[in-house]
Formats: sequence, structure tokens, C-alpha cells
Amino acid sequence: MSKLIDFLSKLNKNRRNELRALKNTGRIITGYFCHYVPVEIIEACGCIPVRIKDNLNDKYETAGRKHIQRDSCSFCKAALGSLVDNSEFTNLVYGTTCDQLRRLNEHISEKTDIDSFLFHAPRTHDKNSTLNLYRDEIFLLIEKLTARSKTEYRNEQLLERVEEWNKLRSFVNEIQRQRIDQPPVVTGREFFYLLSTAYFLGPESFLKVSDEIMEFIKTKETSREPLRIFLAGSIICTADDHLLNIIEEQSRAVIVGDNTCTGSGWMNNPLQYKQNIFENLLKNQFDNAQCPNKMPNDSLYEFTDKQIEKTKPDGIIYRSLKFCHPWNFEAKAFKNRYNIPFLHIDTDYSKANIGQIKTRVHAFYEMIIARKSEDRIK
Amino acid sequence: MKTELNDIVYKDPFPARIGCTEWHNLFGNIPDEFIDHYRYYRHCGKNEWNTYLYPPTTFLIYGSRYLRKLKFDNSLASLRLWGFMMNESERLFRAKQSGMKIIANMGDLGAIPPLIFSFKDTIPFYPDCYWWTPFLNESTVLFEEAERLGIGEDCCFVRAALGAYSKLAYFPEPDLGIVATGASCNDMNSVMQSINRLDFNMHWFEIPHRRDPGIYDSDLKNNERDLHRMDYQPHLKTFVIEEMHNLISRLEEVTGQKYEPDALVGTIKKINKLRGLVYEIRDIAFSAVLCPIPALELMNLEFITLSAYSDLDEAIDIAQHLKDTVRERVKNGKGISDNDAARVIWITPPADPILLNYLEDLGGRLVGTEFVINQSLRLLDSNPDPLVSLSDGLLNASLIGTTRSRTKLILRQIEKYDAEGIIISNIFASSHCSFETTLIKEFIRENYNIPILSFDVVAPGKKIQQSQILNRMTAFIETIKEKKRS
Repeated sequence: MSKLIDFLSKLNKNRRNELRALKNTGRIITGYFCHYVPVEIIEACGCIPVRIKDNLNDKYETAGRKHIQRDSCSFCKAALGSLVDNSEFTNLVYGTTCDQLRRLNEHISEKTDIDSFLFHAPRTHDKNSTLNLYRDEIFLLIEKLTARSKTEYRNEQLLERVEEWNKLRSFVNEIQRQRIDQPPVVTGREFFYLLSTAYFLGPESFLKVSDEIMEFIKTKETSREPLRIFLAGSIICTADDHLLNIIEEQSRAVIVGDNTCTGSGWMNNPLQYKQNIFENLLKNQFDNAQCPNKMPNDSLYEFTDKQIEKTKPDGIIYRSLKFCHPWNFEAKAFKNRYNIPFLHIDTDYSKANIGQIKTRVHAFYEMIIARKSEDRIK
Repeated sequence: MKTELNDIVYKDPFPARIGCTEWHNLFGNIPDEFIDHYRYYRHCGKNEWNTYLYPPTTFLIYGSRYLRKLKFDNSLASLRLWGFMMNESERLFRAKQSGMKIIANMGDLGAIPPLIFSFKDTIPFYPDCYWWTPFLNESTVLFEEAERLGIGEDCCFVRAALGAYSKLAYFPEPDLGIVATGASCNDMNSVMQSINRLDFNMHWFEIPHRRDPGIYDSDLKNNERDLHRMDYQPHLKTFVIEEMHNLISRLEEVTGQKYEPDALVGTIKKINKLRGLVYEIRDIAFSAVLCPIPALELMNLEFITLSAYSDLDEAIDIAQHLKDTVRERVKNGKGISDNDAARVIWITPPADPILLNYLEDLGGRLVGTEFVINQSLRLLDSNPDPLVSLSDGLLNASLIGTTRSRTKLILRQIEKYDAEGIIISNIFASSHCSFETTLIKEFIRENYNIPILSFDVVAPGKKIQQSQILNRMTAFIETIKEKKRS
């Protein structure tokens, strides 16, 4: 086990206990899906945002299957199974970025007592009409959240939250920058843990331990020349730990860059603010989401182009969750766009296929190594 | 039913469902004058090319081989409908040759075409509807093409539209593609995204999610006619009107014409004429003691409301002909079903048309549908600003809101037409079916204790799985009939 992950796991555990205690004192714990949901606004409305992606596993996927059909996405099934089983959230917020998420809302509302709000997150951009709609919908979100938390929303509070989150983003982006180095200072698995913990703890709590984290990173032993892997595709959550392990096991390879629903893109855009903070936040969310469901989704590729150029990967591992249409059907376009060895893994959270995935990943690495050798000879 | 043309009369035989060969033989009895008279794009005059009244065997020879397995209504009006529908591909090529503008609509399912028809010589059509082609042609060519472009069998059958767009052998290159995204299916979005990469001229139209306001004021007893009404929040209408204005600018650019509100008002009148006729035919058919028209023809008729199969005037004429036929049959106590046929509502249109044939083969009949096109069935309001009417129409769409609101449409029909069972034909890997089906069942069961059958429609050529569907439908109809007897 990585010492850094061990450290972060303890932080996560403590935070989970802290949230339970806060909920018992009447604080509003707002679970949210998708990074289209502005965390700063949730906080400015007096609620504590927690992204729903942790604690999911294959058992919850099976549990969720009781309520929705087999041909639905594994993440939605697992989220449903988990929330029906036991919820630590007071309320939930969804954006309509994905049709399955949009419909998941109704299932959760029908099967639990958790209050939820779904806002329309436009898929098209570059026009005033959709920005106006987004604004209207965020106003409704604010109304809903403040009614629940009995707090008044103020722009000054939003500005303060934006400043705090920007500090967090800067810190994570610095690690992201160092991740690109050869040899990389953190593994992909560590980076995903770090990112997840950063969001779970929030800026104040997380930045308190930033020195300790940097210490772990500085003293870390790194393998000399691992294969550099770019990971793209569906959301990465706790249920994917085994996948990250397979990709990086025995230090043969390290994930040096990514474009997933929860990866580095999540921290990519520190907000340029000062004046009219609300409008700037909206614009930032609206223009910079690297989402495959944006129509057209050019920004997804623009972001990936930059990442690929910076990280110079030896190969791309593209993981789509079963029946995650937005990512699954982009795989071909990804493959065609980048002239880099490419492996597409379409899987669910079941651990039954670990052996097959291992075999495919190993074969992929052997192919990359063989090619590199051939190139050297040439 | 007697159809008269000048002094020539054609009399339909006793109502029945007949096969391809029987229609081929029967077609010999239809006077040539009728074949010559029924034409699409009448404004182009009488040409060698613009007739469409042919027996199913003609389209079978052109490649729709599945027709030989289907059963058809034996009326002249139904034959017109079939010919008109099957002829649409050819019609689009003719439109292009005649200098008309061709606009492909995707994802909105009937909400936008009235605006397009209001521009002179401008024709809307739906590539989405090419999802029936692999079944009708017994061919997986379009699916293979979609797979080559990255969309495989984990996507709903609508991926055939991507294949058709790529090949451009099924319709000419559209002058513009209007792609409706937002509160729409993931699979449809992925198809549109892939089409966009093929470098066609596209316009993105955002459809907002319709949140339930919480109160349904359109209860059936007070508002019997409006089976199709949905409720929504007012700010959504303002947004859709803005989107309509964006689209208008694009249409003006493509057609070289100015948008004329009066022309749109005129078009809405025609659209309402068509929708009104379809409403009446459905109402007559669902209410009659003996069902006067088969389920398959009713589906073909329902989908005429999307884009009038690219010819609004002729579509209205056909719907009128069909209404006369249906009314006459009911008046004379004739129909194609038994007295005790199981009364079934069908949810989600089956891509495989033979499934609707099975319903009647097994002793059932259709008394309602929710084919995800509620927005194209409802009459448009007569607001002074026609864009307000159009926007309101769009916000009544089946799939943009909650499953509870969609189920409301079904519950109204169960009540109105005394349905005894529900069939839900799922589309495998479609983002809405996988989430909606269990909820629809739950919501119906909150109100009615009637049997519900759901199954996944299987891809063309999968005979064993299809036989399982037939077995399940058999047991389902038997259950309903047994329940009636007891």
C-alpha cells in the first residue's frame, strides 16, 4: 500500500465521521453528481458538497440492478444501490449532463426520502439562450438550497468560497504539473486518491495537510522508466481501484495524465474573478466543462490534445463503463485522433473479469515495449 | 368503403389483414386512374415520377424483404399510407432534384417541422426513422456502418441513422441538419455527435428538461379531448422561443428566405388539421367495438405526424381518406378484430413491425399508444405568436420530463379506452428504456391492476429470441382473456 494513499484514506475516514456528526447537528450534506454542479454555490448556500462517487462497489451495482434494467450504466446502478441502502446525504443535486443521471434522480426520489434537485445543464454553448437558461436554473438551485439550509445567499460569501477553492486547485495543479515529470512523482492511483480527498475534505481542511502531502511526495521512491499511460473515459471512483492497480502494478507503468469525469480536468480551471463573481462562475462552468456530452464536444478534445502534448504518453488506456454511452461511443474518435497505442476496456464494477483485464493490459504493454525497441533499432 | 374519383369507383373488400401476395393480386382491381391520381408534391405537376400507390411487393423488390412476412390492412386508404411512407426515400431525392431544400431533423420528434414547412419549398424529414430500415430490409448494413464509425450494439437501433447519414444512399445530403439535444437520450446524442464529425451542416437545438410542477391541472374529466397535455414551468417556454429564434436565423441563411409569421400560422393550421385527423382516427379505432384498423397501420399513421413523411398536403389527404374508411367500417359494424379481443396499450414503438402483427394474430387489439412522440400528436395552440404555440408544443414532449409525467399519458388512455393490458417494447441499451420501464410498471400498478408485459425488441435476424417474444406475447394475451372470462 502506498504511504500517501494510507495517509489519505485516514483523512477520508475521519472526514466521513465528521460529516455524520455535522449532519446530526443539522448541517446540510449535499450529495452531487457531475462536475457541472458548482461546489462554490452549494457552499455559499450554507450546504456541504460531497460528490457521489466514493463507497461505490460491485455489490451496490448488483443492488441497483433490482430497480433499473441491466442495460443501464454501472455507475448509476451502483449509486442507486448505495443510496437506497444507506444515505449520508440530506439532499442531492444533479445536472442533466447525462440522460441516465437525469433519470436516476427520479428513481432515487421514488425510493428514498432524500430531497433532490435536478437542474438543466445545457449541452450546447456559444449562445446566450443556453447561458440564460443555465442562469435561471442555478437561481432555482440557490432557492432550493437556501430554503433547506435556512441561510441567505450572498455574493460576498460566494467570492470567499471561490478564493478558497482556487487555492485548492492551485495546489492540486502543482502536483499535476509534477506528475508529468519523468519519473512521475505520484502514481495515477495516488493522484486520483488525492483529488478525491481534496474534494471530499474541501479547501480549508485539505490545505492544512498540504505540507505533509508534499513530504510524502518528495520522499517517494519512483521507478526509473515506467511506461507513461494516459487514462481516458468514464468516471473513476472507489470501485475502480482494482483497475488502477492493474494498470500500475509492479511499477511497469504510471498514469501520467487523464481525461475522465473525475480526473485532472476537474481542477483544471481556476476561476478568473474579481468582478461579478456569480456571472464569472457561471461562464467558467459553462465554457470549460470537458464533457463528452457537450454538443459538439470539441472542448473535450481540446483539453485532451493539451494533456497529451504535455504528458507525452506511450499509450492510451480508454476505459468506458458498460452502457456509459457518452464515453463508450467516443472511443473510436479518440483512437483515430491520437496516433498512440490505444487500448479500450469496456467493463463494469464486477471483479469477475480482473484476469482478462490483466491479460489485455499486459499484452498492451508488451506491444508498446516491442514498438519502442523497434523504434530504437531504426 | 367506396372511394370515388370522378365517375370511377373502387370498393374495398370486407376488412381483413392480408399478406403481400394477396395485396399483389388485389392491386390488379384498382383502376389505373387512382394510381395516376395519388401523387406526392402535387405542386410539381403530373410527372412520370411522382406517383406512389404501389402494392407492398414493389417495395419488397426494392429491398424491403420483410414486407413478405407482414400482414396489411386491405383498404385502399391503408395502401396509400403504406405506399406514401415507403416511398419517402425516393421522394427526398426527387425533392432535391426539384430544387427544394431538405432539412434533416433529429431528436425533437415532431416539434420543429411546422417551422420548416413554413419556409417555401423546404422539406423536413427524420433520419431517426431509418431505425426501421434494418428490419424492413432484413439487413444489418446500416448497423455495420454505424459500428465502423464507433457506435456498436450497445446503442439503440437509432444508430441506423448514423449509417444512413454516412452512406447517403437512403436520402440526399441534407441542406441542414437540426439536432435536438439537452433533455434527450444519450444514444441519440452520441449518434448526432458522430454525424457532426462527418462534416455536415448542422444546427444544435437545446431542449430543456421539463421538471414536474407538482400539480396536474389537466385531469381527464375536465379536459377529455386533451389526452396529450403536459405541464411545465413558464421560464422554459421563454427559453425555447429563444432557441426557435436562433434556428430561424439559420433557416433563413440556408433557404435564402425571410421567416414569415403568417406563413407559420398557416402551416400550424395545416399541421393541426393533420393532427386532428390522426386524433380522430385513433379515437374511433380505440373506442370501437371491433377494431376497424390494424395496429401496424395505426403506428404508420401516428408517425405521419412527425414530418408528414415529407409532404404535408398529401399526408392530410391520406389521413382524411383513412378516417373516412375507419368511420365507415365502424358505422357498418365491421373490423379486423374479434369481439373479445384483448385491449392493449403499447408503450414505445417497436422497431420490429411484425410485433404489432403478432398482437392481432394472438387475439389482441390496440387501444392506446405512447410511442414517445406526444409532442407531435397534440394540437398546437392558436396563440397570436406562432412561435409561442410551437414552443408550447415542444414542451409537451414525451421524453423530456419525468417518467411519472409520461406515465400520466398512459393512465389517461387506460381510463378512457378501458385497456386490459400493457405491452412495453424496450429498446435494448436505450438510455430512457433502461430507467423508465420499471418505474412505468410501478406507476401503472399504483392505479390499475392489469397485466404488463415488457421485453427487449431483438435485432433483425435473431429468430430464436424473437420466437421467445412471440411465446411471451401469447401467454400475455391468454392471461388477459382468462382474466376477462373469470
